[in-house]
Amino acid sequence: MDDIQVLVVDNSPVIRRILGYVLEAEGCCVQMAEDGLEALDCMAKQRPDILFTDLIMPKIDGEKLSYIVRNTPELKDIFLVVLSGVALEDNEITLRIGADVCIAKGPAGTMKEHVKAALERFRANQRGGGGAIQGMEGLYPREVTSELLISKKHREVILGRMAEGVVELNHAGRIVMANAAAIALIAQPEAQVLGSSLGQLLPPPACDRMTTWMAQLDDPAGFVPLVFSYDEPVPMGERLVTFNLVPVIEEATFFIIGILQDVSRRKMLEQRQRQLEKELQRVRKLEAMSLMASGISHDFNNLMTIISGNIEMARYVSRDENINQMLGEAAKALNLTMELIRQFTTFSDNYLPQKSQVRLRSLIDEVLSQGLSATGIDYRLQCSDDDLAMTVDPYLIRQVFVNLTKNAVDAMGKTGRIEVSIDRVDGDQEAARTGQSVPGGELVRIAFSDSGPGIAPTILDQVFDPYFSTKQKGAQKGMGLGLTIVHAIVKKHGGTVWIETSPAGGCTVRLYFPLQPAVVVDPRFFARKAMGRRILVMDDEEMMRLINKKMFEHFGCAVTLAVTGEEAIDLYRQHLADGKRFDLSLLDLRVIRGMGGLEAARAIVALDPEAALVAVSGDSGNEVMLQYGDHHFVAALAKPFSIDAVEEMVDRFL
Amino acid sequence: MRILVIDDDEQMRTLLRQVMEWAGYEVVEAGDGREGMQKQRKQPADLVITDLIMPEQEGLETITSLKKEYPDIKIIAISGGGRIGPEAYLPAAQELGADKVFSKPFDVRELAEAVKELLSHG
Repeated sequence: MDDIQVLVVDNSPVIRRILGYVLEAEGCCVQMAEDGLEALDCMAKQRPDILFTDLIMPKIDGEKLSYIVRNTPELKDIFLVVLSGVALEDNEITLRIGADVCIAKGPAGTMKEHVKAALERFRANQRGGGGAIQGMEGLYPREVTSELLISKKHREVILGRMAEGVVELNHAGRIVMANAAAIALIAQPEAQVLGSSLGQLLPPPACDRMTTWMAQLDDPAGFVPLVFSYDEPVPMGERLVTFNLVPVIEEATFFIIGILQDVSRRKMLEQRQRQLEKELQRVRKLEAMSLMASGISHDFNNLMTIISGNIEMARYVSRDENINQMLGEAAKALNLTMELIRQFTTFSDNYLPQKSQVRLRSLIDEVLSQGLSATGIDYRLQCSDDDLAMTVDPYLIRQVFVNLTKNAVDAMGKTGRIEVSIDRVDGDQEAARTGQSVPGGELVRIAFSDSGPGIAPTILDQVFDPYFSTKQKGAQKGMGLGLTIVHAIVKKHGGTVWIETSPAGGCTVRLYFPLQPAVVVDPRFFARKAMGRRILVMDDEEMMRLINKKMFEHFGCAVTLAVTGEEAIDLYRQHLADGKRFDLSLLDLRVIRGMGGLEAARAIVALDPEAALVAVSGDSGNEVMLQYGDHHFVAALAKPFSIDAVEEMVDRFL
Repeated sequence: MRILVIDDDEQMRTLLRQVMEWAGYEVVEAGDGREGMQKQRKQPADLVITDLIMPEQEGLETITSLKKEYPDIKIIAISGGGRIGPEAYLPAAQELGADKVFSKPFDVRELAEAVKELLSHG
């Protein structure tokens, strides 16, 4: 066995020379390396049969080198001989690393004998003898070495426990040390990380920057740190990591210390915060619009009617071609204005959705075939259940799909394709699948996709904002309210909507609606302050009953109607027995054919002393109305009363 | 054929009068429901166009009274909304006996059409 391949790793040239003599004399083929990193390169070229390694070395030390050898499949069977200069001071690390032979560094003569003995053990294939250290006799512990070892141990504990990743790179950018946090961030086994180039572990743009930076380090003037800051972190797997790489001059060369920080969590929280703020801003804008819409819609509707009516009349009366043409133009603009105002009133939180069962498939089919009739765009509508119906306001829901179709047509131009799919899904599952805030329970999911150019990701968040438009603005082109209206309508129905776009083009609007009418509606959009409260309205006038019902229902109340006092008492008794006590009862004092409110109030209070009763009368000067407190009532309402009065009741009692 | 126009807005009354006169009807105007009922008793109209929200007597009340006293009268109700929105009043108006309902803003030509149709079927 003359060609035993041996690698000797030691940063001391004296030791290398001694071992070289001995081993070559024994007929071995000897390679030399100054440190662990160089040793790794040697082993990559030529796998040795025996590795003699020092423990304390710069770059990758003997302990790490042994660790790599034992944890790399191609190297793990190498016969490992450790030469420890610190055997006396710290025999623990010397013994821990799984060497086949351990030799304490000492006088040259003694060491030679032990090296020869190690060779003998290799030839005899006697492995696992590293439990005892050879050559300890005649050695004395040195205090400086102990202190250095203690300091090293402390450093290792600190590095190991740090949240930040710390790496040391050699002058070529290869990793010679990485603490536990860094290994976790790189997400590869330590044995592979050590010795590899950090640049190679980074994604291309960061790798390129690092290569450029490394190149300029040849010139001492170029000694500046490389920073991937919080604003431009490096994506490593699923994490975002900041890097701060600092070059440190060391004698003729340099090394690099790198600090890595995982900022994914902070980034994620920040993004969530931004999303919340955006949503809040949008809600505020919508609230302002809604307030304005409620305020102006009544006056505007009146004025519009008069303007348009007079224009129509003038057209009818006039026989002059020119005048008629001008009036025709005015009428056209006016129609657009009216359409805009009509859309605007959708934001009004006083707009009362008229809910009825709507078959989605046929509604969407109709909107698409109408909206696309004059275009070269075709569409495909897929519905898992053709009879799928939900309780919504048909006018509003139609407006959602009219707006989406219009946007898609504007985005696609002359030709293209719209695909719509309608499914019934479980809200909780969808929320988990998509990571979006999808309401729970049974939902209708609608995906509305076009084959247009898609939306730039940078503006994806803004598309629902009022007056945000990618189109040229103007009354003819659209005011940038289309998607805002879609958003408002979906929210009014207790649903969710968002837009996805893919780099390949096209975008998909995802809409979710509760299959059952929404019980809880977002209070920010709706004045449903008294959702689910039970109201009893007793009035012998049908009209008053209807109006009262509408007004209380507007605030989300469940309204029960009675014509006379007798009927009111019966209903109250029944509800009380069923545990569905009325939260508020309005009793008309004057009932022509039957018991009036005052008598009914006495009977109801006898049933339920806590009953909240409101006296209602057209005669506000009535003694009961003035002194309602003395007659079992909590309030008095003079007819006719406005919705503001109802709202005040709701605020006070519900 | 006579038409009673009830609206608290003078401009709206003028417009409705002009439209109806051009369509060939005699028009009587009233500023609220109470005045409307008085005029109707003096000069009964075949059709009433009434606003729904007025200060003195609400349109819905007027519709109820009109139908009670004149079961054959045709009624068109117009609503401009108000705080609960036009859609809240119109179904109520229909339930109380309005033959046709319009929500402002509306097209006067459509209104004229509706009047013509109601009176010819009458």
